Order: sequence, then C-alpha cells, then structure tokens
Amino acid sequence: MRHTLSTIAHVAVYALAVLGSLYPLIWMLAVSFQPANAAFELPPKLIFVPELSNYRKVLGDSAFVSSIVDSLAITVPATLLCVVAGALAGYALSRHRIRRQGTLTSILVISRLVPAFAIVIPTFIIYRELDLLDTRVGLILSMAAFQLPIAVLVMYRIIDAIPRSLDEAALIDGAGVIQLLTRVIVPLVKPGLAASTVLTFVLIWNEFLFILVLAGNAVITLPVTIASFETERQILWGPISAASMIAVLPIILLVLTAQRHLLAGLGLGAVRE
Amino acid sequence: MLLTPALLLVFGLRVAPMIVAGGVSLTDMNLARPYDPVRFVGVDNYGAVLASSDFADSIWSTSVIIVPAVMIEMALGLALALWLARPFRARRVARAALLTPYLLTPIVIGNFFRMFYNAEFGQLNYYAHFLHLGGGHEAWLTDPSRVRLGIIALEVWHTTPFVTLLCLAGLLSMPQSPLEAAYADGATAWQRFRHVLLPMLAPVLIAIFALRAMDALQLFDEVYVMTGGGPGHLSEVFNLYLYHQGFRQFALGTTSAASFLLVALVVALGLIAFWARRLGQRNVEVA
Repeated sequence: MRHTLSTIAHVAVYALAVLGSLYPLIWMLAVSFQPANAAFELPPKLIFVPELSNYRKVLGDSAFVSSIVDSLAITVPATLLCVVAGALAGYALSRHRIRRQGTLTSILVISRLVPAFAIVIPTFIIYRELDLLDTRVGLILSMAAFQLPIAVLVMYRIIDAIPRSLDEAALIDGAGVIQLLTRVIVPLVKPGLAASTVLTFVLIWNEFLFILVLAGNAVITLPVTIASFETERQILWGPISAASMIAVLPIILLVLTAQRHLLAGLGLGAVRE
Repeated sequence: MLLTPALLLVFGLRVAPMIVAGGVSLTDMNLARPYDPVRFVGVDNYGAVLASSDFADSIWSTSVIIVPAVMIEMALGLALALWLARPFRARRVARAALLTPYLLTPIVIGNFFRMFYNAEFGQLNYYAHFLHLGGGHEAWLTDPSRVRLGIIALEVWHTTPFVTLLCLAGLLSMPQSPLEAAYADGATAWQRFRHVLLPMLAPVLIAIFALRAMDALQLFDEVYVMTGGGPGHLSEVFNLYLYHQGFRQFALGTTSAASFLLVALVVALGLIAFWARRLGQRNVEVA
C-alpha cells in the first residue's frame, strides 16, 4: 500500500514537471491553429477545429519568409564551419604535440565565457570598417567563432578516448593521414560529430543579441523578426504564436530525433553508440 | 595545420575584438559623433561608469533578479532530481520534455511569458483567480513591485528542468556504496542527505552553480522582449544597460569599459568553477 502511494506520488511529480516544461509549447501550438483572437480566451481552448489563418498570414508575409531563409542561410553554414573547424582542432589537440597547448585551451574556454557585449561591440566597430555589417558572411563567421569552443571541447573529449594504437596500426598498414582521418577516425567519432552538430545548430539558430547588433536591416533572422512582431495598437498573439511554432520547429524535431546527441553535447550522457 | 581554421576564427573574431574593446574602452568613441576625432581618455570611462547611477542600478537589478532565481533553480532542481532518481519506464520521454525549455528560442519564451503575464488576458491571473490565490488584473510586467518577480519566475521555469537533468546525471554517476553503508548504520534520510550525499555531490553542484551564474549574468533576450528594461529602469539587467548605453546613447567607449568590468566578474566565477572541478577530481581519486 505504502509502495503504491509512493509510486503514484512519484509519477504525479514527473507528470507535473513534464507538463510544466511543455505548457508554453502546448499553449502556443493550440493558439496558433485557432482564429487570431483565441489568445484572449480563458480558459485556453484545447479542443477546436484547427484552422490555418495565422500560418497563412505569417507565411504570406514576404519579410517573414525571407527571415526563415536568412536563418537557414546563416545557421547551416555557420554550424558546418564550426563543427569542421572544431573537429580538426580537437584532433590536433589530442594527437599532435602542440606547444602551449594549455594556454590554447584556456584561451578557447575563456573566449566562450566572455560576456557577449565585450565581443559584440568591438565586432560592430571592426565590421563597420570591413563593410561586414548586415551581411550573411559576417554573421556566419561571428556565430561560428562564438560556438567554436563547445565544438572543440566535445570533439577533443571523444577523439582523445580513441586509443592511439588504432592510428599507429593504420599508418603501419600504409594508410596516409587523409585515409587515417576518413577511414578510421571519422567513423569512430560520428556520434560526437552528431552531438556537436545538433547542439551548435540549436545555439546558433536561437541567437538574438549578435544579430540584433550586427544586422537587422538587410539580414534578419527569425528571433529578431519575432521580437519585432507587433503593431502600434495591438500585439498580434495569433500570428506571433504561429511564427514562434515555425521558429522552434527544428528544435522540437531535434529533441525528438536526436535527443541522445543533444544530451551528449551538453555533457549529460555518453557519446558512444 | 589542422588547428588553422579554429585559430583563425578564435583569434580573428574573439581575441582581436577583445583587444579592440580594451583599446576603445580608453577612448571617447561615440557613434553619435562619427566625424569627431576619437580622443584617448585613459581610465576616465571606468571612473565614469563606476560613478554612474545607471550602472549601479543595473548591477542591483541584475542581482535582485538572478541571485534568487539561481538559488531557487538550484534548490528546486536538486529536489526534483532526488525525487526522480529512480528507475522509471517513461524516462526517455520525460528527459526530452525536461530538455525542451532550455533549448527553446529565448525570444519565443519571452514572448510567451509576455502573454502569460498580461494583466487583462493573461493566463497567470486567470489561474490565480481560479485557484483563489489572487484577484483580478495584476499587471505583472508593468507594476514596479511585481516586474522582478515575474522575471525571476520566468528564469526559474526556463532553467530548473536543465538543472534537474544536470543533478540527475551527477546523482546517477555517484557510487552507491557509501549511501548503502550509511543506511545500514541506521542513518536517517536527512542524515544520509546532509552527511553523505551532499558532500559527494558538492563539486557537481558548485560547477552547476558557476555555469548557471555565468549564464544568468548574460540575461538579455527574454527581458528585451518582455519589458525592455522597464518600468523605469527596474528590470534593466546588465546586458540591457550595455545595449542601451551602446546603441541608444552610442557611447561605445564607456560601454566597452562597463563590459570589461563584467568580464572581470565572469572570469572570477569561471575560476571558481575550475577550482571546484579540480577539487571534485581530487575527491574522486581519494575515494
């Protein structure tokens, strides 16, 4: 009897934590598929005939659609650049004898911890001189550099766990360095690559401050668009909810399909298969 | 050779800007006067920042928001983790749900809470009324006595699940034998928590705390969309203050100086985290 009670209490707390965590998503999902004034209905309506008016509205807005394009055109290349540079650096830090390795690692870690404004203001000044303000290239470079330390550290941890005897065996068998990397190392670090790719993607996708300061006219990503989504008279909660659901869709898909990799990237689980 | 791309990115876009920022912090650079020559003013900016009431106000606003928020997150996150640390069939689903708030776009979260806290149509007032916890139409984000509470609650909602996951990971990787030994010796639940579990978990907790504190100091996106720093300067957290100084007053010199003062604070916190990890590793070696 006592055991049953404690199990029920346990499940109840779990359910409450899960429901609490998902409440905003559930609410926005529901509101986004209802008429525009549904946001003002209390209690929130959870049973309704879904309609697409909010989605039609935001997807009919060319500024919104172009911000989806900008978001993808910045996040995808920046993620790739970050993960490739991070993997190469992780490999070098693990396998090569590098002078001042400790200093290098510290610079990497500290550069990630430095408050954003200490970086974004001088970046603004430098970009103004180089005509990189409001360009995709400028944002891609800046975002990749911002998240690079995480990619390097995740990749270093994984590559360092691969026994060196494997490298030596491949080299003795006559493999070149390129073959060693593509045939031996890459297959072994796939889970790590996946972990740093999904985490980097999410972090860059969500970035707001850098884009607000370094762009915002010619190049606008989804978070910046959503932040400016209101008119003088009233806030358009229906379309905002639809736009928000579109903005978080890639994140939800990743949580559902690549949860293990996300947890590993955050240091919350093993990165091995 | 393999390090080249990473080094170019880090030195070109992190280290070089830091050096530029250090230089700018010693000048009177101001975007509102683009054609005036930029003058060297030494450490005047630092003095001006430390003496300004806006700076002091933003430090105070940040502290009264993030200190309680991080404390509550840690306590609640640990409590939840202790409660949840047992085999459970739907664990995978639950983990996905707990991971979600931390990964959601902060701007989206800020927008949601703006609706949630709305005085007339907000769900919070509705639920409070429904549960007989409060009356009608409290304006959570424009009422000076409530706005900070509103932001603290958002922060707690946003990060407690993540702290729970971090604590769970720490708990599950802990050796079980000391707890079992304490149990066999007849220690009460509180004694086992206070004298066995807490000391073993302490390095993990300190590391989580440092991580959360550094993150919380950077609070910006959610507050930017929810209140923009108002009413008055009541919710103008440190990053919003920097944003207003830099891109409304265009005083890049003083803004750089102020951001360097924040860097000093964060580096101090980082050193604490590093030291805690060292301590943790040593403890593991001893055990």
